[in-house]
Amino acid sequence: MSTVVSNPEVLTIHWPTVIRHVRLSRGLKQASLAQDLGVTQTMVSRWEAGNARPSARIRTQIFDMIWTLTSSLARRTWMERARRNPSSVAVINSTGLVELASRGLLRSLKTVRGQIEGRNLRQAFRGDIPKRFGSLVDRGFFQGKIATVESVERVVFTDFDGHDTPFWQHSLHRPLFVANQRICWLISGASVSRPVWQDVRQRLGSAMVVRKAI
Amino acid sequence: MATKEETILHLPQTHWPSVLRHHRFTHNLKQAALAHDLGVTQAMISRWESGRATPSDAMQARLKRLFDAATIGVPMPNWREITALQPSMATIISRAGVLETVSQGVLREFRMTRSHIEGHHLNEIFSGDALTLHRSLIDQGFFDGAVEMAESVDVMSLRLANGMKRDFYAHRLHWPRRDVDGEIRWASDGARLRKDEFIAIRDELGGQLDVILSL
Repeated sequence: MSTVVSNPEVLTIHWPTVIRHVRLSRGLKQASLAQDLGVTQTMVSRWEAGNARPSARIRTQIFDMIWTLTSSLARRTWMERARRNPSSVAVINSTGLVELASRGLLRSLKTVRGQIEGRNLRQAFRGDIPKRFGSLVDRGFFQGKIATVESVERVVFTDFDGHDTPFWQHSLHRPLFVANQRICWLISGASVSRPVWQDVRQRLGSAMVVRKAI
Repeated sequence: MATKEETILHLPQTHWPSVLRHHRFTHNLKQAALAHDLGVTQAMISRWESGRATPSDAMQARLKRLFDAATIGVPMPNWREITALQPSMATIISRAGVLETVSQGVLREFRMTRSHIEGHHLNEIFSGDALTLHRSLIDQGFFDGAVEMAESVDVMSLRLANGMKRDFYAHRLHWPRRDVDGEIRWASDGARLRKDEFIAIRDELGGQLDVILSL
């Protein structure tokens, strides 16, 4: 299993990819994106080529642009709603800290919020979840290089008393472009029976299918 | 970025030792990790990479799918595409009651295909709570922006082709989402419940539905 968190590069946002990804996802030419951001087309070209780094103002604008592509809510409201979700939702940051767990996830884990939020996934989980984190880090997930990942996991949750709760999950993983230009890991899923888990794995052709950013 | 790999995959005779190594090295995977993804032993990966064995036809097809998926870039999915991909029970429904988009989880729980649900009216698919809920939301002004969010515990009654019905319990969260045409859609996400969970949450909500109105 590979865990490359010691290498800071895999956790630093790769702006050329992120800017190109949002631009092409919106079907824009460099000139149109430049106009939206109030800069020259040359500047967008230099960012995408990695010859210049966008300013803090632009970095924030780009994160907000990406956020509004998928959500119509303010980030804080989105988080509150995600916590109430009856299905399984988790938000985990690039250090592995669990920032949010939905009501449905707590139900699957047979636990309470205090047992999971604020904990590091390496302590809270064994099995496929720490492994999935390692491979997402390796593939530049926290740099913005991944569009979506679909996977199946055997989740093993360990509470503070060392009591294990295992279950099978079918998951969708997406980067969440939160405030202060951080990319978090958004997992949404459903716990499924073992036979369903095996069916999905068969259909995916592997435990994990990665869709890279354009 | 991935042109080299794609070129290799399009050669009529794939040289599997180089393709496998290239994939592993560009994705930072150990033999054991790739073996896990493919459901084979690490020894088998080692044999393929050294050329002592060739992957079976079925395995070659899986390898190609795996490598293609990892090399083709895709745009950011929009909210509708994300809904369709969700493993949980997510739906997007219009004011008129048409199921416009449903998730993978819905197809699984309902045991139906996408074409059997999408584009159909709620009353073709359901009886009972799902229809009551739609009417309650309309009455509360949900499609006019009066509702911020609603939570429900429902008996989902599916109408089956033979005139029978199939029931199961669900816990769902509902919120309005304005689409590009300016009209509000009913978005919801949820999970299946056991009967004891259903009873507990119904007690907690004091009924089928709890509505939070917009300020």
